[in-house]
Amino acid sequence: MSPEAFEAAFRLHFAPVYRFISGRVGTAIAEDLAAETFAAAYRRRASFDPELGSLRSWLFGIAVNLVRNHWRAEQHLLHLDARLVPEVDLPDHAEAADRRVAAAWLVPRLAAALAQLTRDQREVLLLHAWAGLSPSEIAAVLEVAPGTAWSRLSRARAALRNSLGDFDFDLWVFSGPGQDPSRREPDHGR
Amino acid sequence: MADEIELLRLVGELIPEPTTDAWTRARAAIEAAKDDDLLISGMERAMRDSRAPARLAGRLGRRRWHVAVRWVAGGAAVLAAGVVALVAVVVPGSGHGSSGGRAVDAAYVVKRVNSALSAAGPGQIAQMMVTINNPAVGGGTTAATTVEEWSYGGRWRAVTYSASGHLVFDEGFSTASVYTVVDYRTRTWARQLRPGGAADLTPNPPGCSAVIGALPLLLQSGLPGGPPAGWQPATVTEALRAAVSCRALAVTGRQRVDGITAIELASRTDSPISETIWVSPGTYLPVRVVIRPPAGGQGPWQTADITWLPPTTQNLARLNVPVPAAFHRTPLAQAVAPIMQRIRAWARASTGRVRSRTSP
Repeated sequence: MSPEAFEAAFRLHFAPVYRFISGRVGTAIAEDLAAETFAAAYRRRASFDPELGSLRSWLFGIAVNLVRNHWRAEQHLLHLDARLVPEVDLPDHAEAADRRVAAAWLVPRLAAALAQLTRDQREVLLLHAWAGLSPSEIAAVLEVAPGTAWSRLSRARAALRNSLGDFDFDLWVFSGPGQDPSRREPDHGR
Repeated sequence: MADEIELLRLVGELIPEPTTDAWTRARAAIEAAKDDDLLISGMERAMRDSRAPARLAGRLGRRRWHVAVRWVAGGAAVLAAGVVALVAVVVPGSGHGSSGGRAVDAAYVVKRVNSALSAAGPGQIAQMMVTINNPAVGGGTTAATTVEEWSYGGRWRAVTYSASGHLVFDEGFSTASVYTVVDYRTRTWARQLRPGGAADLTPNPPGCSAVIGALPLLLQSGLPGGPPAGWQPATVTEALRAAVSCRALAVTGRQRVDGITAIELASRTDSPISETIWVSPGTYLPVRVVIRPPAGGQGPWQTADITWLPPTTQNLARLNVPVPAAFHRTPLAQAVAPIMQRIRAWARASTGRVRSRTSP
């Protein structure tokens, strides 16, 4: 990978990688881990093989390995998040504001549920939901067969639903990806 | 109806974007990784050139040799020691280095010095003891004048002592724009905002010849009123950094300076000013600078011993120019006239030479 290609990859993928790490272990640790992800990527750039997976999945693979060393921090963060509805900055746009309020309401419930999952289950779920990786990309990240990634994701989703217990999915309606969700009768936190 | 993935994605939208600090830290980490790469390639080349790896490779095998080099390159302390060893192996005249090896290693040291100076610029006070030996008529040198100098951001102070050790001038910028000068011989002082009139003291050529020429002027107790607006660099740190960045220097060896085995960087033979800078192998910050007239030339010979201080309250206080209570205030032009005279004479001798040697 040429220096120019690496710079382009850094510009394109740093923010998603940082956000993925930050969501899992918090911003304080994320700065170090995201920086180390790209430093490690530079050192290992000769080992990147596009035939084994995309550049994006290769970078997330490095990030995942670094985050694994901080599972205590992740667990601690989830326990904290499970107790508090986070304060969020609300944009002027009403629909966007509603979306952030709804997300904030969901945080404690989801954090509590995620905390009950195994590390592997949480990893595969968040790679899919937060990093936006497809099951085949997750397979490249975790260095497993695509079929294995599919089944792990499926089991992780089932485990999360189980952890959410009586969470009423019917109350939550999304008009589409990235659009405004609406709740019929939000009762979370009661 | 939503599903669990949609809920996770919704919550994920609350995760903030990376801050400027996060981007900066990541870039710094990548740069450090690049430095490691440079060191590794330099070490491999140096060891190959000095025939050491042939023996090592015989014992460890090529693959394990790579692992060993990478392990060595991993630790900061070992890294510094490695560079010193590296420089020792490949400096010109050592008989071991190839020209490619010298280029890599000089580039590595220069890069580290550049980075160290970048970090020191805002973070540390450069304290210098400058000794100036002026050539005497008929050969030899006159008694040395010494100047104690501090440079920190836009602040700067220089205290000039006579050859007999008496305090002569105390001058400086307590802020970026307030200049104070105290003349201990006439027991007078002056203070005003950055005065005009200094622009005609020095040339303002673009490019590296300007920064190379600026360094001696900065070391020689600065200029009254500071350098003209728009003339960079404005601080000793920037001047050193620019001189290094301009590739005016090459690694030439090692020498003991104040108890440490410093890396020696000397100006190239085609440089209009003859400078030698010694940098600490641990911090890569300059610890001594010597400026001489070029071969066959006349002019002052300056040595600056540099100490890098943290910006504590006590150290920052050294940048203030105290005015003794019994001294009388005078117009600035009158107060700085003796300094201007000295600087103008020096500038005429030195920068004139820069001009003539750098002009096409």
